[in-house]
This record gives sequence, C-alpha cells and structure tokens, in this order.
Amino acid sequence: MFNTAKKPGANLLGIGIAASFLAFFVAGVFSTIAIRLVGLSLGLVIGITLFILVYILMTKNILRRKLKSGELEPIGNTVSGVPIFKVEDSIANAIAIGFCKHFQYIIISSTLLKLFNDNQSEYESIIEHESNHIRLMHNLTMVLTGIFFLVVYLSIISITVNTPIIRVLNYITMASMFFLFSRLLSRSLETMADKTSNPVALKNALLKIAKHNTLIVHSNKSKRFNLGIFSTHPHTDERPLKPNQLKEVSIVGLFVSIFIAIGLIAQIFLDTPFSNNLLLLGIVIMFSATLFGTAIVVIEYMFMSNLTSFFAKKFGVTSLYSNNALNGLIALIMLSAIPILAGITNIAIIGLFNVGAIGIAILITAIGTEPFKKGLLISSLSWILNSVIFILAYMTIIGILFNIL
Amino acid sequence: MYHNSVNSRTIFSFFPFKIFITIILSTITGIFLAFFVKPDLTFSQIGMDALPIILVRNELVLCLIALFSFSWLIQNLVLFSNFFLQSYFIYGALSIYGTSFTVLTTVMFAFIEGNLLILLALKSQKHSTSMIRYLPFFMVLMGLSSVLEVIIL
Repeated sequence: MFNTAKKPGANLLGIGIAASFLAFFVAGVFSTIAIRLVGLSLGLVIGITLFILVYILMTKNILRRKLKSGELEPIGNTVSGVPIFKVEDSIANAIAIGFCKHFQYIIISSTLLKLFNDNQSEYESIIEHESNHIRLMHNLTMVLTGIFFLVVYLSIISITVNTPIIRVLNYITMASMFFLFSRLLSRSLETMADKTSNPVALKNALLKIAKHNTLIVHSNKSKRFNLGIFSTHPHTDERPLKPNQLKEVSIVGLFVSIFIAIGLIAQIFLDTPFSNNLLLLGIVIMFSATLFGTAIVVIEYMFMSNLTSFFAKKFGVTSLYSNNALNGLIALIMLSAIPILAGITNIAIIGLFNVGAIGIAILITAIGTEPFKKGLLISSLSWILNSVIFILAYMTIIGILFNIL
Repeated sequence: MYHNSVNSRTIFSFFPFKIFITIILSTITGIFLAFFVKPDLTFSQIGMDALPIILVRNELVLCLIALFSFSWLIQNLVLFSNFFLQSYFIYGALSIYGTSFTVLTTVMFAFIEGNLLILLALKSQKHSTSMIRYLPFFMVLMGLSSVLEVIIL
C-alpha cells in the first residue's frame, strides 16, 4: 500500500502559500517580458495588476475547489463576521487570509480544534489573534511589500547593464532581500496581532501549540544558529513580549554586510587582473566590511531604540511597538544596500533610494501606534535626528581616518 | 573554628571550546593560504608615523569584541578574521625572510595582542558583565603593546 498521508502542515499552509507563490512567479515573469516590449512604466502597471489579480483569484479558486472536494469545512463565523473553516491537518495551526470585506477567511486545522476542545478561552484568544491579522490588514501589508520589491527589481533591471549574468545576480539579491524582509515583517505583524484581550490565555495556547508541533515536525532546530531570522513567527518564549533584539539585529546586519562585501569584491575582481595582492585585498575587504558593517548596524539600533523611547515618553505615547524600530532599521539597511549591490553609480538614484528608505523606515516604525499621527511624528523626529547624527559621525570618522592615513 | 565539610560549593568548569576551535581553524586556514598564495611583503623600518594606524586598528578590534558581547558567533568571527590575517602574514614573512629580528618581534607582539583579544572574549563569554570592568585595563595594555611595537620596530 502507498502512504497517501501528506506532510504535516501541507493541507493548511498549501492554501496560503500556493497563491502568493503563483502571484510572485506570474507577475515577475510577465512584467520582465513586458518591460522589454512596452517600456518600464507600462511594465510596472502590468506587473502590479497581475500580482494583485492572481493573488486574489488564485486564493478564491483554491478555497472553492477545496470546499467542493470536502477538504474544507465551514464551522462558523467570528464576532466581526469572518467565516471560519476547518481543514484536516496533523499540525496545530491557524491562518488568516484576505484583507477586505468579501475576501477574508480564517482557516483552522482539525488538530488545533481537538487541542482546545476543553478550553474555550484559549481557543477564543487564537481566533482573536487571527481576527487581528485581518482587522489590521496584515495580508495587504505583505502583498504591498511584494509589490514594492517587484517594482525595485524591475526598476533596477531597466537601469543597469542588461547582461544575463547581472540580471540573474540582481534577481538573486532581490529575492534573498525580499525573503529576509518578508520574514522580519511577518514576525513584527505577529507581535502586533498578539495584542489580544486575554494575553495569559494566548500565551498558554501558544505554549500548547508549540509543544504539540515540536513533537510532530521537530521544529526550531536551526534557531540556535540563525537566531530565528528566517522564522515567520517570533519564538514562543518571546511572545507576546520580546525582550532582547540585539542578536537578531546583529545577524541581519551581518547578512547584509556580507552581501555588500561580496558585491564590492566582485566589482574589484571583474575590473582588475588577478594577483596575490588582489586576493589579499579581497580577504581584507570581506572581513572588515562584514564586521564593521555589523558593528555600525548594532550601534545604530541601540541609538535608535533609545531615541524612539525618549520621544515616546515626551509625547506620552505608550503603544509604540519595541520591535518596530528594529524592523524600520532593517528596512533602511536593506533598501539603502540595494543600489550598492546592483552596482548603480548614479548619485541621484542612490540618494533617491536612501530618501525612500528613510520614508519607509519612518512608516514601519509608526505602524500600530495609537494615535497614529503622534506615532508618525515620533518616528519622523527619531529617524531624522538619527540620520543627521550618523551622517555627521560617519563623515567625522572618515575625515579622521583620511588624516591618519 | 569548626569547619563544616558537608557543605560544598558546586564549581562549574568552563573550557572555551568555541574560542579554541576558532583560533586553531583560523591559524590553520591562514597558514594553508600563505603556503599556496604567498603575500608580496616588503619589510622596512616603521617610524612613529605608523603609530596611529596600528593603535587605532588594535583598539578597534578590542572594541568590536566588547561591542559584540551578546553574541559569541560574531565575537568568534572577529577573532577568526584577526588570527587568520595575522597567521597569513607571519607565515608568509617567515617563509620569505626566515627568522630575522623584525619577523620574530612581529610574531611576539602579534602573540601578546592576540592573547589580549582572547582574554577579553573569554571574560565576555564566561560572564558578560564582568567584561566591562576589564575593558579599560585591556585598552591601556593594548595601547602600551602598540607603542612598544612601533618603538622596537
């Protein structure tokens, strides 16, 4: 007999992931072709439209087919009227899909239902967590992030030299950046959705789920090495609160610095013929750029988190999320690294990227603050002050180094 | 006075496996690379002009180890890069110039400075808060070592 049982989580996660993967693939391929045929602006419009359309239509289609075949079973509605479905799966998990009135669903695995059969308050806290994802439009945030990276990718391939190697390199860089960025954004959104009316019940529910799922899929094995930067959810010990983010920020800083160092070395090696001294220079650049880049990121984070908490205290805002400053910083690092990695030398484009990066960092830092206007003001003040001080410090260090040398 | 021998203290033994492996690996990699790709080195007398460069470099590496006290992984990466480059240069110099006074003095100072870095990383990985107390002392020692290195060479 053949074993027809699917992998744990395949039934549940297949619904959410299949649609977004197809949307990325279809929009990416068609807009790359469209840019060559009809130019950048029309290509961008085609890419964005395809992305949203494929995402919505594919999700609806997958749900309809699964409902017809009986794999999905409607089990009721939430207080706000979001339909809840049950799917057979051996892992205990729940997902929220959609972002507008006629396109919002919560899907729960059968194991999760069994696990919380005797505890109504814990079950309700999980449903509230998923409802928060829909209420705060987290899926739309993820889709917009995807669109943003698609636009950046398409803009870069239209600006840089269009050789196949550079196009592939750009695609790999952009895909890895998007992967890291989407994961960190996802963790931030999870922390936001954790703000439920009964945090104790949610904590207990999360511990129960983690205990059950670790037994089934033996997860979190790699967390000791990568410190969870590839995880979609924060570690259960750190939920709903997250005490220390220095390790996370340093690992992201390390990854981005390695990317930048490799980019610099590749450019030097492509321009100059190979020699022993060139190899040595490459090694020195690799180590120094990686380590100093990480150090700058860590110092910047320490400074930024203190600055936001200082302004939050001054303006009397208590709902500023601690990991938003971290996510804003990571967004800033990644977006300002993109033109360096893509080999763009035009100062105007690099400047535009940096201004855009600061704008996005300001928005990310202010996400979820109440009132939002005050949060935006705090975030803007912190980021502008931070940028000015860091540019001055950077220029002073460069000046001192040049004087010494 | 009666000494109660029943009461005992648990002593936790600490052997720095991670640092030990990092140093062995980095030294072997540096020597291995120098064996195949020899560095183009020219040894000459260094004057007092070189003091700021050597001083800033050594203090900067020390500060990096102190900064990354929260992560043994990055701290060991700092140690790896330092020992890798030093062993690469020293092995290259030894194979080109033999055991001359200049090379041996460089080896000696590299040994002293390397030990200071290892000690700070050890303090930090054993108990992160105690490292802060030792940092100024280590910085002074590193400064002294750099000044001596420049004067002797």
